[in-house]
Amino acid sequence: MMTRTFNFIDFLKIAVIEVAIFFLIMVFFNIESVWTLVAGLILVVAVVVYAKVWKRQFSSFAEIFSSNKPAVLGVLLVLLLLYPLVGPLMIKQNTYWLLTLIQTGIYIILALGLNIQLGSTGVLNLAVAAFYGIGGYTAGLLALRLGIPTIITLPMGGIVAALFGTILYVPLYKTKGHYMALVTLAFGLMIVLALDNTEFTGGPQGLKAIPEISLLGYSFLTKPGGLHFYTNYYYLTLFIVLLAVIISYRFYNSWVGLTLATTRDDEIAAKCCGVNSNIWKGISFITGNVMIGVAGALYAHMIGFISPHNFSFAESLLIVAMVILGGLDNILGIIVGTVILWILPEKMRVITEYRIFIYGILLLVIPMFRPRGLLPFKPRKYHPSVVKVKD
Amino acid sequence: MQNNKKRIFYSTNLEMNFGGLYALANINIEIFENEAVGLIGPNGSGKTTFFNVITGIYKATGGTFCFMDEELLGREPYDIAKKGISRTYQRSRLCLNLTLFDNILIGMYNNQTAGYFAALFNRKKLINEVKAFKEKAVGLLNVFNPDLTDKLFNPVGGLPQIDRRRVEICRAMAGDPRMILLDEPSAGMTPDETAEMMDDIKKVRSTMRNVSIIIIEHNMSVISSVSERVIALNFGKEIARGTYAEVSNHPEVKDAYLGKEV
Amino acid sequence: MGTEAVIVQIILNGLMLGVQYALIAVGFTLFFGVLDVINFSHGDVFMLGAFIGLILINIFSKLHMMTGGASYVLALFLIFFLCMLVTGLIGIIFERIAVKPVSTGPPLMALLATLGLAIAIREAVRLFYPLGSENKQFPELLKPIFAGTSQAFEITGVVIRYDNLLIFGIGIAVIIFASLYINKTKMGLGIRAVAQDSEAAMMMGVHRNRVVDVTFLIGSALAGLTGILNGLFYNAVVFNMGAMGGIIGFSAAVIGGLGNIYGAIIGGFVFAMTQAFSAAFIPKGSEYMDVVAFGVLIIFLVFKPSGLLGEKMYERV
Repeated sequence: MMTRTFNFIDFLKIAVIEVAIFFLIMVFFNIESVWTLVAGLILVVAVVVYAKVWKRQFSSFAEIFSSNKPAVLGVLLVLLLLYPLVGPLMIKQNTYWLLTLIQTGIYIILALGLNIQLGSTGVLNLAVAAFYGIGGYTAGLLALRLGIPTIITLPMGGIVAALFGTILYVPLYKTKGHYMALVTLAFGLMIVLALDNTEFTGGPQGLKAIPEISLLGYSFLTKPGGLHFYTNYYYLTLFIVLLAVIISYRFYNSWVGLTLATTRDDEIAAKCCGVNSNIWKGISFITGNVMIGVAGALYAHMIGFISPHNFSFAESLLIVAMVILGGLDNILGIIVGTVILWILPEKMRVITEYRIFIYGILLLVIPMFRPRGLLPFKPRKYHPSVVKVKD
Repeated sequence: MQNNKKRIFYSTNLEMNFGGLYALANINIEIFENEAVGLIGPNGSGKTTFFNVITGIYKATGGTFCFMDEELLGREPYDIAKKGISRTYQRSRLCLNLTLFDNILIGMYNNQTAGYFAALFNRKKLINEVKAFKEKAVGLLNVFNPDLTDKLFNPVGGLPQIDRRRVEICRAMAGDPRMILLDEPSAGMTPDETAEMMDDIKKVRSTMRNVSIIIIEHNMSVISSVSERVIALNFGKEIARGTYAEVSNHPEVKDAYLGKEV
Repeated sequence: MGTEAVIVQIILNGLMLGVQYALIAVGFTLFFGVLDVINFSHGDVFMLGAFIGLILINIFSKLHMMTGGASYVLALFLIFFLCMLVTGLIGIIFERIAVKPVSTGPPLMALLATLGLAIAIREAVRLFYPLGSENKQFPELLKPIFAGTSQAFEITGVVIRYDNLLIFGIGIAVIIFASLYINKTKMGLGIRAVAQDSEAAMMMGVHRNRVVDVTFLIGSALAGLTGILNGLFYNAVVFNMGAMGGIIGFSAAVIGGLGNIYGAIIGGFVFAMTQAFSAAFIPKGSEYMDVVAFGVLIIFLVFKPSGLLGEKMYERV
């Protein structure tokens, strides 16, 4: 069936490059002094410039990567799986970086969920953090007050968030354009205010001592083979991220993605082709909220305590910035954008104070210069076999 | 006009009132199967409004209209599209960031069977369907401009104006409609391009059996070469109907405007 | 307090808040009318007004004009005037930075750009103004005017301070001036023309860019003034006051009908009264009053997006 010949040399090249980048990233985690870091960033910029100037040599590498996607992804997956085993050996403050990576993963899930709403359909959900919070509180309350096992609370986070999304969509149904965004804004504020003022949800203190995740009797507080217990969360998050990516990818390359995209780009034309745009916006809204809610549940269990301030409007804007930076409807771009927006400031302690300021500048500047996002736009191909030209 | 042809569309005293301004009044238009009807009139005479009303974008404020013996007054555009009416737009409404294929495929939206569930769990069914529809899209593009099939997965925004119009027409044809509404297809085109567009419209009729076309145009050479009969509007009311020769010589039409002759 | 007094107190609270919301709402509604844009950075112009006020107070103190007598009144007048001038100019700059460059693209991007600017300004004040993250005291500038009086009077058991009355008076006066300007002057006519149909207006000889500049000048100046009034009323300002101020101001504009100046004014008072009455009559009201107010906003957005006085618009197909 596979007529493509498996080029071992190419595979080696890919593997070597990816492993090299892997180690470079760990070196990055280790850098303490700001100056080394700055030097490193200048180096990265230099490489990018080199790539543009000496296009020919660089493009041959790019060619190998793009025509061997399964190999690229395979090696990447292996490296991601191996990371927690290698990390403790190579990285100082390994626990801190492990946690950072897990949080990055959670944000990727959030961003992909928002992407279904905003990127694919153009529905600006300014209450994304509120739904994140609903997922977290659902899981937290179910686990704390009712002792429900986490294998249920995790999906319940998504389901309840979707439920609230459905309720909110009833008024949203007939609103247009920027009014829709504003209703979500108002709703998000209402939810946070309500959480802040209700004793049942713990008020401003929120929920504390939320039980850890426990699957099939295995408690996530166990230290697997002497490694930190965060390792358990790392693998679970990685698994959920992969699920989110596959789901996003499959939606994108399907009638769903096409329908949502035309609804976003030209609603009237879409309607005249038979698309009930109001229903589809609702479908995308609710679907996205499932992902967002699950991310919330995951967060709640992992960190163990949540409060309304975790889910403020500022938080919503941060997630929106990740989707905008990455590029609407651009899955890879969003992952890269989220990683940059989350990991870079962690490293640059210097700029942590300025983090929100920088997010603001980004939101201001990106629509002007790169409204399509970081990475170049890719056409919807549905499947490699669809694009293939019959000779 | 009758000739045993079935009547597929008619409007009865159709009226569109925008807060006191009657964009359409007393419109009684009939369309029969397999015919091409020209709709002319000066700017603001209600032609595009007519299209917008019968596709459900505006809800008529008076009168009614029926397609295939079904009353469609007050229906949403997506319901009307399912009945078999498709259209193009005065200011081209394509999704410029999406590929040619995407833009044509959405025209086949009503024919899809592999939806939300299949996207996640039955990829095979989805891919086979997409491939089949791709063949159809390629076939349609080939009718107008075979070069376009090479650009099937390029963004539409990169195409010249006339090719974009063609893609829009392909989209309107893709769902096998019974009636296509073309809104000023030659707008903004050079004389050469306009001649190509006239050929394109003739190709539409020869490619699709059993489709009726209503075409709005300001360019009278297009109207005269493409349509079998013509209806003229002015200030929202019908002022003349008949063959192109009859209508263009009608005194009221002459008064209203005599469009550009190419 | 008797019920009469309670009601009077609530209404007074509503009026004081209402005039401030109305002033901010007018800006939002003007921007939307003229440019079809929702300018999120407007709330932070309100905040900047307050901080510029602080800076001006500082300057005039150093110039020894704030001790008393005629120079005091002059200083007050200059503070108000200069603040409005500076915030007006800042508004124009913001329009050039965040609105104009993205006006050709999808409206989503314009929304985000103004949002980004708002965040950046807010954080800039927090980071770069000395001790920016703390509440800043705003002096009671109007009190000395009433030196020698009892500073307040009573109605049905409710105390009304003279300086608050003056704040209210200034607010109302400015609103009236703004409405008169929009409705009676040539430039105001230009603004209304562009708001209705910018292409037609241009064909009639209206300089659209000039109109846009003036609109932003006026809208932002009003917000800047409100910043000072807010500071005078609460005796404190803080870097993130623009966030809530902006959202509420915008909600008021929506309730009144985006694009309609009288609507914005009415909307401001409606929103304030809703807050004031909820705070008083709903259990745990003072905490939930914002929830109620936003609920009201959602109801308007859903059932009457054109607002109380607004007009319906048809999309051009």
